[in-house]
Amino acid sequence: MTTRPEFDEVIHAPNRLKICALLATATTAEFGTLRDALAVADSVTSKQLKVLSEAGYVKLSKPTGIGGRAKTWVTLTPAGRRAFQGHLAMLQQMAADVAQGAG
Amino acid sequence: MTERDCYLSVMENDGEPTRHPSPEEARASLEDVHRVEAELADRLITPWWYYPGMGLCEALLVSSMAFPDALRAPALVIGVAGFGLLIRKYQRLTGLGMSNRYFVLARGWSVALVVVIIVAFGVVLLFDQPVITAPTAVAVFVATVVLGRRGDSALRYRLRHGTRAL
Repeated sequence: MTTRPEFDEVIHAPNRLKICALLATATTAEFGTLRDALAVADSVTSKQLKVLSEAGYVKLSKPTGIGGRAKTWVTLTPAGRRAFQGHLAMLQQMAADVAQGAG
Repeated sequence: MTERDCYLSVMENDGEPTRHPSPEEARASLEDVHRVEAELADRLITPWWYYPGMGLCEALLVSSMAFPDALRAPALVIGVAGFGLLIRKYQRLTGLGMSNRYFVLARGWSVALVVVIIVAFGVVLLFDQPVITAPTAVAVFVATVVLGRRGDSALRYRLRHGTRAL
């Protein structure tokens, strides 16, 4: 199935694009892993995840571990995956157009 | 939305104006995506005990087909619980989920392992003799360790060198 190129303003912000890129491959990641991947503070990561969550692109869960501190896990939703793929296709299309124009 | 719209549109986002990307910004964003995938490869470090553990669980499941009825169910429960524990431990160590995408990225090795396991189940069920079951279980263990590690290498290579061609 071909993905329709479509700009997504929620995903386009650099940190949110990185979060979606990581989750598009791993599907689920722990909050600390995302924060380290972005190399930003907890508060910045939380803010970006809140925006993605409100858009319905990620789901946050806090499973209780045995004897350990519960950690927050983030999962890309099917809607989030579709939006990311559409946005990525749009970026690829634009980059390809530039390459063709230069050639 | 057309490409022209992308150039023209300006929107507010998080209190800061966010316009659609220029072609150069689009390329920079794509490089960001690739960088994230390459860094993911460095995070997916499989602990040494993971595939031997998986191999033991699979060998137990395969050989349980030849066990007496009273032992078969407990062996199946232990094998499946072992899978669950190993996957959970792996997720906690890496901070990443066990995605179906990993299977896709290491498709060849993953399919080979599934075929080995299916054939092993068939052999044990067909012959039902300890002299056949024992070496079959050992073969499953070895195949899991070898093919699992090969699959890991393939997965990391695909992540480092771009997965979008899939």
